[in-house]
Amino acid sequence: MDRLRRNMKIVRLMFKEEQRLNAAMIGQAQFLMFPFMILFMAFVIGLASDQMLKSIPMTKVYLILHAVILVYGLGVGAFALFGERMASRRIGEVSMLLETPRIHPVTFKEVFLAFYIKDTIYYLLYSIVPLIAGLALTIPFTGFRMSSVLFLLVTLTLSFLTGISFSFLLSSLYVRWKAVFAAVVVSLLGVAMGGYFTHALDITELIPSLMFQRTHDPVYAMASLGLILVFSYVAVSTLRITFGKKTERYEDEMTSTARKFSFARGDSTLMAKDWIDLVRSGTLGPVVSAYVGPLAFLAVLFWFLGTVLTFPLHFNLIFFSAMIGFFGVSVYGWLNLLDAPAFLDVLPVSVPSMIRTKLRLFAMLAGITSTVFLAGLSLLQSELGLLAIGLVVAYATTIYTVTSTAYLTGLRTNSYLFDPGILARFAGIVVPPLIALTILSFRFKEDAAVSMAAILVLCAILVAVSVILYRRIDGRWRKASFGS
Amino acid sequence: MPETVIELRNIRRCFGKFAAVDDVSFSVQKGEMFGLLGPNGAGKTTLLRLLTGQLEPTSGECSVLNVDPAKDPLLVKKGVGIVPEVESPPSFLTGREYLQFVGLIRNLDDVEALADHWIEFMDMKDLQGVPCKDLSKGTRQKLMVAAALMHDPSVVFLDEPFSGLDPHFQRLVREYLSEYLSKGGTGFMCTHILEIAEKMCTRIAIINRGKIAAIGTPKELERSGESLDSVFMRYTEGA
Repeated sequence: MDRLRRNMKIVRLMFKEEQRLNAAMIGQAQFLMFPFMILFMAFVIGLASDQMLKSIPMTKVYLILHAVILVYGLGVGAFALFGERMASRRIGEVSMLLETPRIHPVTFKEVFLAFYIKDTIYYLLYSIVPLIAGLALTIPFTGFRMSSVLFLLVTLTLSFLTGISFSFLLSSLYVRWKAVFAAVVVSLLGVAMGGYFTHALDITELIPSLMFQRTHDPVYAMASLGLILVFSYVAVSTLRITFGKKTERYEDEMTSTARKFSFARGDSTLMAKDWIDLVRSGTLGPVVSAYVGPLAFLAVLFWFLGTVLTFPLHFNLIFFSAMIGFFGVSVYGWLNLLDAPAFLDVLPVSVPSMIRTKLRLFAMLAGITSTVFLAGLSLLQSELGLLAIGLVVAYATTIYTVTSTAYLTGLRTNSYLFDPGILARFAGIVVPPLIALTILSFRFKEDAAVSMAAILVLCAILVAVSVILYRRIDGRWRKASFGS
Repeated sequence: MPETVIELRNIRRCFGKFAAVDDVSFSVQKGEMFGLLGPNGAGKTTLLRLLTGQLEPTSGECSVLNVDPAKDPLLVKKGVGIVPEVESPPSFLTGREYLQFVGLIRNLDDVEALADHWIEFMDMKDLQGVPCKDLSKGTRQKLMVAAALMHDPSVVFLDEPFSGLDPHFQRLVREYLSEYLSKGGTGFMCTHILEIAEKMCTRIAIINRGKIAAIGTPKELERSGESLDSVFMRYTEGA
């Protein structure tokens, strides 16, 4: 009992730590504003639901909502992949409670379980609860029943917990037994594909929280809870994190790599350092995945919507090209997490130089990855004819979105994007051109020449604005420091 | 006429309502090793960061090598060497690569030979190829010291430079710094190790709660037969 009480106390302390860390980075008010923004957006969507439900049946709305929340949970739950990094590395100059087992008599599994519980509750309170609260506020205008909204909160929470716990489990398996991880993934894909192609199984029935939403049968709620507990238990039990487990030795690469990046002139040394960080930290794979993963997910989702749910919309290559720029933000964010840069504060290096270095490195990675992805997709979608314009759109939106991100967030992308003020400016800069390009991609089939001209003009404007923002990075970040 | 290398005039730095450095004025001449003593949280590191352009003052002015660090921090950082309070070299570079990195950033000639020289000086040959994240605290501190000195700076700022260093290397650094001062270099050192301050510093200031409580040569501070330890205790009472 004492142990349970102690671990609950650790969860509470971790909550305070998370709150203070975020408040220190982006300010207390901004930190608390983020859920209000989600609430407001849900409120607006709720008000528009009447119109939306005329074209999409409620069952499909539920399916989409649960799919999105499940994927959200999957996206934030791969704790084991980053556990060692989180435990052994400090955020800037800040030590975290996760490091406690190094010097105190508490096991790493206990502390990590507390961390997992804290993060799960944090995500629920920070995003799912405001989402539902926003919908609840529309009740006087939409006539939604309070019981239905509360029920949605329960089922979406279950979907989120299923996603986060399953992701945690997969990451633990991956770290410990890569073969078991591969077997689980292949089996699941096999079941899903087999079920779909043989019509023997509706794959949505594999998600008990969604089935609970559809049927209100408490058996599905129990099944959902059971799965979450089993996933979490196995994930924590198989978790393997060893402090300082091995010391690798490397050949000296600094000067030779700097020579390779000599095209970056004065910033070639910084670029070489970041490249070495990227390779040695094992982040190159996750960075490319963070870029291609969401796009591949979108491609599969739209295939699913179009083929399985027979939505009457076709998403062509130009649409995906526009989206590529948007997903570039996460890659830029990753590059900012490679290493704590506080040591640069004592060297004659400015924050704008480092931002430019990240942008160059990003451009190199994004250029190769997006070209390969779009070429592959154009073949799969039989749209080779759109590849050239698709690449123009991809490069222009990527340059535009990432330069805007760098201008607004500097080297602290993941923190500043939680600042509602910055997020609103980011949305104001990025969303309108994306919407315009999406509309033009849909119009392309009807009037290719006009759409092409409009797309090219828009891309030229995006590149011009990017150049202006790039030049303003110096003014905005000149006085910033690398440290916390 | 001694050449003034560091000068502060009524420098004040606030964090919210809290004044970490409050109305501080003094100057440091070329060839001096100036020691800043004070209890934890007295404002030593804040003052060092103000002088090296890592922080801007709330009010007042300062200059290092005739440059205002608030106006041109990069120019100041080019001319000086800094050993920061926390030893945090880049995680994934090896020690040798880190020194090469610093050499390249500072546009030094033959950075590979220079890095080799310092690796040998620090007796780190056995650790060649090991990334900094896997080095011990003391070894990381050695690297930070080497990185601050390798370009033969006009002024060196040292924030607790001996923290984590073994006695052998402490002596080596002390000897190196003595020679560096005799060749016309200038040092500014924050420490709370009184013995080191007494041995190395030509002048000492005691800072308490952001204000300079006393300043002078070790002999001037100890003039009534008090030890530096007693002087320190007297000026920082209630800290």
